[in-house]
Amino acid sequence: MKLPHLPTTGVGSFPKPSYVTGAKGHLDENSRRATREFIKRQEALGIDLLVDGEFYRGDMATDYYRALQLPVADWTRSYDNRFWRKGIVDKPLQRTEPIQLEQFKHAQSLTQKPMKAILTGPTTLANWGFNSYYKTREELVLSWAEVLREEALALVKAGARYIQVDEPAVAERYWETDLFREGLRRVTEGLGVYTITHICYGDFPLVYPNIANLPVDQVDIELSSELDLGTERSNLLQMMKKDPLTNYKDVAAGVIDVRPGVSVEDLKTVVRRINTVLEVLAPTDEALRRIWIDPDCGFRTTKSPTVAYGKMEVMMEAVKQVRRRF
Amino acid sequence: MGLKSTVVGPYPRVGSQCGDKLRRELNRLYEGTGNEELVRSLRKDLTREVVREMVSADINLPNYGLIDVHDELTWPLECVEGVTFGGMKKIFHTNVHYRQAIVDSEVRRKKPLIGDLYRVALEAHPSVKVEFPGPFTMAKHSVLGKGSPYRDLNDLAEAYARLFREELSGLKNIPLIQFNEPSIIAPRTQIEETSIVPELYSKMLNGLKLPVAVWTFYGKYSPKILDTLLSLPVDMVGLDFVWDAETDGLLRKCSHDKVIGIGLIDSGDRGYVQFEDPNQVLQRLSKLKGYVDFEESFLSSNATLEHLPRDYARTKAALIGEVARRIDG
Repeated sequence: MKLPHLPTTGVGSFPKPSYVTGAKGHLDENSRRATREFIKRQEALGIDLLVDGEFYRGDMATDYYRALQLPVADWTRSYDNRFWRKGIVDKPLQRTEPIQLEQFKHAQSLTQKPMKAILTGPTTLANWGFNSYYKTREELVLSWAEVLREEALALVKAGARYIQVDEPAVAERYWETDLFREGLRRVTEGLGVYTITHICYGDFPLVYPNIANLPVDQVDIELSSELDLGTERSNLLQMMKKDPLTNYKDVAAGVIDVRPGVSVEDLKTVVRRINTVLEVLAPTDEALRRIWIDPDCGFRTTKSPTVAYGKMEVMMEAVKQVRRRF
Repeated sequence: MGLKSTVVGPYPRVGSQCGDKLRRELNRLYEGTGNEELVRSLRKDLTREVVREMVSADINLPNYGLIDVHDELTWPLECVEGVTFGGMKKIFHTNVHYRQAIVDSEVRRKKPLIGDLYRVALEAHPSVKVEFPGPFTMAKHSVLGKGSPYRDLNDLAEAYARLFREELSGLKNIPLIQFNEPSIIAPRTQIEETSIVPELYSKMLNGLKLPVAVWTFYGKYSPKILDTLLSLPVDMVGLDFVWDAETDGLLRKCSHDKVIGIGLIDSGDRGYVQFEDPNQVLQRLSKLKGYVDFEESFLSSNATLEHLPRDYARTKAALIGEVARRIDG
């Protein structure tokens, strides 16, 4: 794919329109319609690498537990009024049916542009549920990795050329970084496609040096709050400036805050954030060519489709403005 | 009366008719169609409900459920001038998030940190403890902004301690004021950083006649840090016996006069969901006899039961109540 400077993409989810209800991991007529409409909007905005909006998805971890016929507990809280259901690993993990395959095939069939296939990563799945079967964390994480590897291979066979493995849990157990990397390696190694890992809302300075060694082509990282703090106050930006991730990987920088209640940023703010990304991550032309721009995370938590579309528009406008310099 | 029972941190909100109704109404409020008065009323109802639930599980000293806090680490700063909230981060090793506090000017209390819900909780039970995140932990989860008058996080921790001192000065008839200080032992804290803790608490509590606890969790203890904790000018020290099987042994080597909060029931924060066998808990507790004053001390979960769904939390609370009662007998 021929890409412009600062290619753009999404992270995955988009707020569900009111006609999509009861999503639990499977496509239905309404989620197909929402996917179709969302893809058209992304094409119209000129986004380079598309995402499907995940309108079929209930939760990024719970759906996997359900797909593997594992029990799911009642709600627990992740922040303020946001909750998810923790699945329970109470038997050996085994992929008995495709998890994301049909959804990817459907989305890719609706566009000539490339579509990301997105999986939740092994460490995140291990951390965001309960385990009452495996004796060790290693067994748990690597068993999830085997399940996801099978799914990734099926996605490649179905034509996926970009596979993103979401690992927001990257810094949760930062002392398990080797296991984290091994889990990711087992999912991505030898797939022969462009691989991405998306990370967000973690204490990244704890794992920063190791992010450079992750077995993927691109690290997609939530950055807007750090960019607002600025290079003087953000430890992460200071670390990045000293040893840019772009020395090692392509980097997708999140420049749009997707949290609920945060209104659409003005153009000036997003341009400033992108300029800070360039200051920190693009010391050379080669590094500049490794930078992508996207939102911090999926827009699911933004709640309002109108606000989310507004945020995508301002992101694209800001990218176009910055691109004029090149 | 023998060993008593308590819990730590926010109690799960949803999983009852009232909690589910509150969740839905808050969603509506955030989408611009909810009713603020209804949310306030539901929060009161839920506070009474969760306190009654803890009491019916034989928890002798419940907290007030903290069912309205955004997150357990930085919520008191909502009542403070000089602070804005920045990025969202994960609380230690969990998939629970807090908002990073950015301090841009002198921190000053705008209003009392303890809200109406504490008083509502007292309608459900006469003896309810107050809980705050401790000043050290809050400082560790803050960032000094451009206009900050504080030199470093130590300076900021002292400023936070002054806020609490002001709050505590106006309190009376509270059975216990508990400061949760996971950052003192959590893996990401360097031991040198904790050297400020004794002076921090001395200054904060000097001259105040209130029963105070410092509760630690999400980490392991070195002999030095345990010694520091046991020498703090507080009445109770809460210890995490779940993360560290060595806590019992270390405690047996210490001489102290503190009431101990025995955080022995797994709150589920590490991803395990099994319910403990009461007999095994009793067996482990028996090894602490002679080293812990069972007449005064409290059995508890190591950390907040909010890592568990409500039905599991209820079972865990009942387990705490049952074991404490059996020690009594």
